[in-house]
Amino acid sequence: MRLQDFTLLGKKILVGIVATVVPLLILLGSLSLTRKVLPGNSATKQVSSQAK
Amino acid sequence: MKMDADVRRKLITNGLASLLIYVLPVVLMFLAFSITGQRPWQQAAQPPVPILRLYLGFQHALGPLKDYGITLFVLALGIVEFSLGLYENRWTKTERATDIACFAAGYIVLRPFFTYVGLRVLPVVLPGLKSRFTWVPFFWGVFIICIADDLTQYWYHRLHHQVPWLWRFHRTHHSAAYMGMTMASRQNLIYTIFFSQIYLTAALAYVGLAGPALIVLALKSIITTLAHSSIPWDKPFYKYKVLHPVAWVLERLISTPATHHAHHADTTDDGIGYYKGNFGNMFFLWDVIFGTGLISREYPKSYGITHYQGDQWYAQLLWPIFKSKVEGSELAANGPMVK
Repeated sequence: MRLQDFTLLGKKILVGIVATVVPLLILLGSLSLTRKVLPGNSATKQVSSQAK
Repeated sequence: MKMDADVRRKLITNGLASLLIYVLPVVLMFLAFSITGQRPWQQAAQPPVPILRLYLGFQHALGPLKDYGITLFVLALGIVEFSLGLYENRWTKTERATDIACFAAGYIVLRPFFTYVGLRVLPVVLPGLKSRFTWVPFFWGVFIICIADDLTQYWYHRLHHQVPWLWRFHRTHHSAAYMGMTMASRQNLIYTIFFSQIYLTAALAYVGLAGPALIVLALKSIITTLAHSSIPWDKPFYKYKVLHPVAWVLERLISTPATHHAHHADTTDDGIGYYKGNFGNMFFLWDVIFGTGLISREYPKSYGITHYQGDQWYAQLLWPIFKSKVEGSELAANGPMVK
């Protein structure tokens, strides 16, 4: 293997990481947000009971 | 070799549209919860749904072979293909060695590798997220993983065709002059090891969507293997008029032998072959949405790469670590990026 092969592999791995991380962040973020935003969840109840 | 400006523009616009598609199942789930008032995270853990129980029961019935259900299915399909003589005389010594090496490496090297990554790396990369989302209902979990896994594979696959410097990592999958069950696993090992969708789905299973992930992966393995198979199971849908409406939906939704064989054709000149598109793996829908598909309901006359001259199996399996001795080959030491 030559230096240019290692560079090529590095670039390829980077493409793979981006293609994995971008959708993963979108999904984990949106799933967390779903639980947080919807009224009636345990987090919201806790906040409202503390306000009383 | 530079990328075409139009291709680059489409990659960017389609990529941005994909970000919205990834979030779509979660948005729909959010709307369903808003309308029905359902809050699954407030309920006790859900028992496995019937389809998952059925799958786990099937796995259990296989006994010591329980982890090899899909492998057995692929091998059985291979036996049918050989019995029907569908490989004809194109399965030469080089092709046999390449197919068997790729198939074996996938199951002997990669299976333990991915298991190791799942068990050791995910708790380090995603600390505190283990089983965080087990509350996601099974149906929505399947929907989320279907889109996440297959759209990611569509992009991984499309990039290897449209970005010139990535092509050689995927070339092995296209070099054979035939179609068959072995084609589904005939890949350069480095292409397979860095499959983005495997890590994405493993991460989603780790955060609590393991049940849906199992079902989606089983379904996907069956669809992609059958799309590569030399048995044209979709033919009756085009032949009988009464089945045409089913065919219309089927060929737009999932990869069929007709659409996927077109992707493996060695020419696009006949209006049937379309190696420049039809990138979908489980779903063909991505090709419909992004305009990269061609549906002809016919099968190409010849497959492979016109300039292919039978590179050694080890070069096809492990390029760029091992190079081809075929002069002028894209896999040779001083070969062109794209011929």
